[in-house]
Amino acid sequence: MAQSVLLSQTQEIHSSVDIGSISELRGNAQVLRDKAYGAELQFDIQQMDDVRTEAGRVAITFEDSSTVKLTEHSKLVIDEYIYDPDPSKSKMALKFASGTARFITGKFNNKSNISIKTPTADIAIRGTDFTCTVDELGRSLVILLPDENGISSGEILVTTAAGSVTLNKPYQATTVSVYENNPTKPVTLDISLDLIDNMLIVNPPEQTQEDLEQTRTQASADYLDFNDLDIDFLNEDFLDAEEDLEFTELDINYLDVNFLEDLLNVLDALAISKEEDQLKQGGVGIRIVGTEIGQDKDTQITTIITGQKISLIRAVNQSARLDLDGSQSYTVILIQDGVTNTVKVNGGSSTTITIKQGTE
Amino acid sequence: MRMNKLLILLLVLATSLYAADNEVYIDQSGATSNLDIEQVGGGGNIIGGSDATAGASNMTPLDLDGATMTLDILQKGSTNKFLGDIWADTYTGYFSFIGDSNTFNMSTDETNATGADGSNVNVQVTGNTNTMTLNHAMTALAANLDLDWIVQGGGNSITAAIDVDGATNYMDIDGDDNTVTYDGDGYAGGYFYLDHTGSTRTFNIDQESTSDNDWLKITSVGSNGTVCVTQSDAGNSFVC
Repeated sequence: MAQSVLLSQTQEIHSSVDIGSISELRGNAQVLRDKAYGAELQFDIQQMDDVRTEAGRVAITFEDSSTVKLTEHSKLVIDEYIYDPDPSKSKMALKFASGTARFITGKFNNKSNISIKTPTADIAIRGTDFTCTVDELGRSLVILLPDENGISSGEILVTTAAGSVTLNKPYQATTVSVYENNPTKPVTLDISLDLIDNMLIVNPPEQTQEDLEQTRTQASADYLDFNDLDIDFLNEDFLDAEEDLEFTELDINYLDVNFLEDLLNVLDALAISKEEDQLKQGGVGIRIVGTEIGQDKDTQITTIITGQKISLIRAVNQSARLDLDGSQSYTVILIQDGVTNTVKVNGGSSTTITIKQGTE
Repeated sequence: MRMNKLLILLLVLATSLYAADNEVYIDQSGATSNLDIEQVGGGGNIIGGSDATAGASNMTPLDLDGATMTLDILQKGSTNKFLGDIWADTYTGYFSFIGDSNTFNMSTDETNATGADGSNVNVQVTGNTNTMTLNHAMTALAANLDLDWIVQGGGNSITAAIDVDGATNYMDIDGDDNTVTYDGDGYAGGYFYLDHTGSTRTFNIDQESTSDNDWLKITSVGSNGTVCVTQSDAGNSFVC
């Protein structure tokens, strides 16, 4: 069950003290308070304000110079903001429900008093500059940005009910699908600050939802009309599954496909390196490096070994499938929407297969 | 079928601009015509102009114009050349080459003068170190083109460039050291199928239709080689 972020509700009691103002505005945005206000430059922001963008972008600068920049189709609620000369009394609590936002913290000396919640993650701030993206399903992507010197702007602690990860290098990123799962292992993105500032990484919600549905439908049709919605996952006892049980195509859970990759389609590359070999499945000695056998949530590659046949399947927004001979060696480079995965089979190199898909 | 061939041979003689013993030059116009050419034996035979270059209607004097033609071409021997332009919608072509070191270089409606829709093109190669190049509709759209290749031999180079619009390219290739280069630009999606057996293969496949999904399936049995596949809606080529 994901954490809930309720944007439609406003508390009856809240302070009417101005805590900041709109410092940048492009296109349309609204501030929901006692009623909906059209955003304007220098519009005063108060606690419990619910800021929403549609076809527009907005930046809010708080009293301590902290800035939150929202891209199109974003929703942010300012739960609490106190800026006091006594650092222990200063506090900022935000709920970020959807869209993409860049957070640049200001003069808060005690950053442990800053918290940001998304539907699936709690973000504790030890740094100064990062972005957060939340899609329509509540899944979160957090990227730590560098400071003006190009080095880490500090640390970001991303926490769920299952655990937490720390981002402490420039452009390190993690994603969270549901609050009950661990955040993914941090990876370093090959992007620039300019790209972050300029990219439009959120699609209109309706369109995105349609795309997701379409993608799932297509994927299901590819596998004998398999419909994951027909399966009651709550009745599945995954704990009883043996660890070495052979992974088959019927085991693919399309809900585990990380569609946040939509948001990364302007990235040059996401290089994921896995050093550990994946050995032995179904009694066949096949070495695979670069992805895990079964459904790897990091690479989003599903690897199925049937006898001597190795199937590599990656279906996010682009779809690719390779059936390889397990007695041969291959280097497979799969580039989809700017995300690069390299998989080596039996040491790689004898045959190199490169597949590039996407709109770039 | 036999009667057809007789009629066609007469037609060839009547429309030839120039013909040497081992060279066939043709400039033919008219819809629904049938053309059957066989060059058998020896080497260095040419169908088309020996100085013809690819593209932009500069492949004459082999110039075949007219919709719904049926072409049946057989060249048997070594170092033969087929160099020609075809301007036609819905034509059916059978191009068969038996021997080594042959050159096949053909363009279909590169300048969008007649369209290049609905054709059924079949190329069969038996031999080694042949160089086969087929450009189909470089500025038009080859709607529903059905292009089939059967290649048996090693060291062959097969290059196809198609402005796809639902076109299908099917290749069945057996042999080592073969190189396939495919470029499917265009509008609606294209289909690329390659069934290959052989080692040291090199495949460069580029699918860049802008408005629909491109489909690709490669089955290759063998060891060593390089396979590079690009599918880009933005039409950006990629070098592996």
